[in-house]
Amino acid sequence: MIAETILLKARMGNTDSHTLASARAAGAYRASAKTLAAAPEEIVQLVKDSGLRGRGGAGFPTGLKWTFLPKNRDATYLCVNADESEPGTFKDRLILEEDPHLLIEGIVIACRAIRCAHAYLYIRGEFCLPHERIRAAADEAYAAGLLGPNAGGPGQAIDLTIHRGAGAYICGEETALLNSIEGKKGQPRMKPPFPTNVGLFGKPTVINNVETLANLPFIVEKGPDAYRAIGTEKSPGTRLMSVSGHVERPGVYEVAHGVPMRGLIEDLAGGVRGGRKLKALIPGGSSTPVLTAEEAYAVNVDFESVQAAGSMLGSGGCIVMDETTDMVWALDKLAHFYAHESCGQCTPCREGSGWIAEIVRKIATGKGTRADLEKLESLAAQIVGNTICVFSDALAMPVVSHVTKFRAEFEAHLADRASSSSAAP
Amino acid sequence: MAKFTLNGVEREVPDGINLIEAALLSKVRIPHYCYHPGLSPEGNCRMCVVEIEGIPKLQTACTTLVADGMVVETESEKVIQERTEVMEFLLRNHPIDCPICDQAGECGLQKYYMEHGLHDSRVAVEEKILKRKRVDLGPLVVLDSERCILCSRCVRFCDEVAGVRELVLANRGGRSEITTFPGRTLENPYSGNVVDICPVGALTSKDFRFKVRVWFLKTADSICPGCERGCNIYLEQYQNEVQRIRPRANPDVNRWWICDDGRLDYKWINRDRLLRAEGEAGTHPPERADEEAARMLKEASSVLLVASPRSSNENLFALKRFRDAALPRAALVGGSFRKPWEEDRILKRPDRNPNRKGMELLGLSGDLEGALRTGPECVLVVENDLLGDRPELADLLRGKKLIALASNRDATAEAAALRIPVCTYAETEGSWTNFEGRTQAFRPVLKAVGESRPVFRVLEGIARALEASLAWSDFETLRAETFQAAPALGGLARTSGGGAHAL
Ligand SMILES: Cc1cc2nc3c(=O)[nH]c(=O)nc-3n(C[C@H](O)[C@H](O)[C@H](O)COP(=O)(O)O)c2cc1C
Ligand code: SF4
Ligand code: SF4
Ligand code: FES
Repeated sequence: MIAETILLKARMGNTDSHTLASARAAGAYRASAKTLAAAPEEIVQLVKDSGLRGRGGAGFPTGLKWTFLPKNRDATYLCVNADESEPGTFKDRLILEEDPHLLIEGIVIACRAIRCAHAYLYIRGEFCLPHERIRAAADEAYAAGLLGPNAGGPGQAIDLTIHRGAGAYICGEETALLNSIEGKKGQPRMKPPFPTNVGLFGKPTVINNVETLANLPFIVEKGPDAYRAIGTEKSPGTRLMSVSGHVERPGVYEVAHGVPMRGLIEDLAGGVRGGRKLKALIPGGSSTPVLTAEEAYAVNVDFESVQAAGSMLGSGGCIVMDETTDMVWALDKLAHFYAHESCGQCTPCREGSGWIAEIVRKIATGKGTRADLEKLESLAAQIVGNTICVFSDALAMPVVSHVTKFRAEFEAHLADRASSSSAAP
Repeated sequence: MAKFTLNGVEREVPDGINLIEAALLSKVRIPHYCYHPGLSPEGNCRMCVVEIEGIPKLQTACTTLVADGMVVETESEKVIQERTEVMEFLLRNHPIDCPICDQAGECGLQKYYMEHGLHDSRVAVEEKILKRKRVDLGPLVVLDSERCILCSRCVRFCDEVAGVRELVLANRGGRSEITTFPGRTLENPYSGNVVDICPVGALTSKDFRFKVRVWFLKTADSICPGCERGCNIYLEQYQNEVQRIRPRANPDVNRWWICDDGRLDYKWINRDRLLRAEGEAGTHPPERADEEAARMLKEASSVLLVASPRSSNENLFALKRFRDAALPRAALVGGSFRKPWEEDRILKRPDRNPNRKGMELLGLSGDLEGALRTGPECVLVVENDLLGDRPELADLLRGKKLIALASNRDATAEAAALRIPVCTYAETEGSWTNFEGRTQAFRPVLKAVGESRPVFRVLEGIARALEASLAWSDFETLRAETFQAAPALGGLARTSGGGAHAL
């Protein structure tokens, strides 16, 4: 039996956990107060020592990212990525709704560390309650002087601007997010230059995920060693896993990195619904390669273990599919999502995403041929690696993994399937 | 300077340029669509990929600056495969419009498909996404969305060069489309340039579309006569009529652009031309016309010769020599009453005469109105529509014997007692000196219309009838003499860099 390890969810669960009064009574802003006496470099060092890795998808070491900022700079921005639109992922939403002060405290700490006087929070357009909550929390924080002209110490401002997106998945990609805040069309920028050099309004900028920043108060308050005591060597701390799909109790579970995936599904999420068997599992949000049941049950919830199994822990969006799932239709859903969300700049992604979605639909509806299946695989290979952002890779990975791991199902859907091949599910 | 290796050969190129430009300096062309040297690089078409040693992924040449020690392959198997794949994607939703598309013959898709595509289609025609056709974007430009490859050159042109946000890439993914912002039209004074830079047939010129297939056009390097900037242009003709003007890249003058006024400033070449010499007694063959002019000039007690800042340096010099040799007592002044237009920060200069500077450097400016007031009995006006530009001058000119050397039936030619047809700049060699003192040559693209002759040849003929000696064996001799007599013109200017940047 595994249990949750509560670090970020500590104050959540009661009806007014989102208010300043409630949060403060439970210890909020103690850590950020502590940083007022610290030099920025010390905070950066602390975070580096903690081994904190980004929760937005790539798992990039947070402290290291901060050190990429140029030494001499006249302004620095922090952009908080609250666009959370990856299918299967809904953990930032929990923080925004239930403990927005945890995030604001994390923002204040990050701002102190990177000498940022103005943070922007980019929040997904469809997030109504989360927006209401973070807005109200920011107002409270301003009123209490936790944000505002002296929030970083006497005469040192930390301002927070909340920017609502209009509902585009691609705006979660960090440079598209920057464009969107600047009032431009939300499409990714070329890299280099990287945002830490040329970011928001052309200034050095750090972009961090909501959950990433929410880890900072604990790290500051308890220290890197306490943080490293949780989780694994390469994946310290806990992880908010969004579990959805065919389980008895879908939800956001906080587990120490390194727990078995089986434990997360069976002990915490109540197991596959109706006592059915697991067929497939997407471990880290829709863009991560799907795992077969055997693979899923063999991995642990940490970056390195999932990676060793050929997938990624990504943003921790765990989509569970039971034995009744038609994997062709599952891919169809994903393919249509990506075709709809490609920003359309890059030729391979713009044309490839629509083409792939069409072919998957053709196969799913029984009209596909062997040539279509081949085309599907070659197109997936064709869109990888030659685009401005990794969106196209994020589409190719599910396509390739679905087709290769569940090939028989795809073949069974083909109009010209060999009569010997097994019947449709 | 940076030393890098291109397809196995070491090259030295200036620092700070991208790989497309660096390769071009060694005559290696890297196929590209979205990159244009006059616009910021965006790296969206993915056609320009190259292999760089030490970097596992292919890189876009347009966004990669050349660096010392870089080893670049532009024709490796991996690169060629990627290009073919990008071509397949670009053509996936492209309509089968070539037979009716104006771009055919100068289309980037046709060009690179032949060079890098040649794949068999894996798309059924009925699977292609249908989009808007014949979208009226503004006074000059029509959009066919299905043909658009979404390279965003047109958008960047408006934003970065014209400085107005008129076009935008709307929607996402396969539904992406070029459009004007709501309530706006593409009407900036440089809008025609988007047609030239559109690598495909998505943007076509209302003025040119369906007129003639581009492979029938004959082209000459020329200079825009519109203002004293002297933008470099291509003049293109079919059946001895100018069909269109396109900008010719010159980094020192107009970069890659021209204004819309300049682009449309050719219709007069085809229209209302003076075909034959006409006097009060009817038309004259050329030789008779020269004799008639000579007679009028000889009989007059006082003569004024009027030069024009629209004439070429060579013709202006010929006029000076004509005065010296044939009519030493005649007054000679140059000038223009053309109303200036509004200058902008892009190309347009206020003075709408292409050779104001050359005329000045040849010592021909002066008080035109004052000279007319002195009451010359006979006035010879060369390539200068005094009355068209300033109708009030009619009073001053009344009672004077007027001879006009004119290409068109303009107001001055119509009022003249004798009008002799001369070639426009589209039919002759010549040079103009722009406001910065840059002397630029233009070349003929048309055969002389009707009985028109170059100005200097008409002057020779009149001089002959006046028994003065004035003759140039050919145009080059005249040009050499002109530049020798007026060193201030500086001879023909050299441009500092690249010529046309097709695609
Ligand atoms: C297509 C795409 C969508 C993304 N969406 C999100 C998102 O919704 N939220 C997020 O935090 N990161 C998202 N990312 C990752 C961000 O680009 C960025 O890496 C991340 O915000 C960095 O934060 P971290 O270092 O704290 O993880 C996305 C990336 C891609 C390519
Ligand atoms: S890969 Fe796709 S989503 Fe990313 S920039 Fe290119 S077109 Fe846009
Ligand atoms: S209309 Fe032409 S220039 Fe504009 S984006 Fe389309 S292809 Fe490019
Ligand atoms: S990506 Fe380089 S030219 Fe388009």
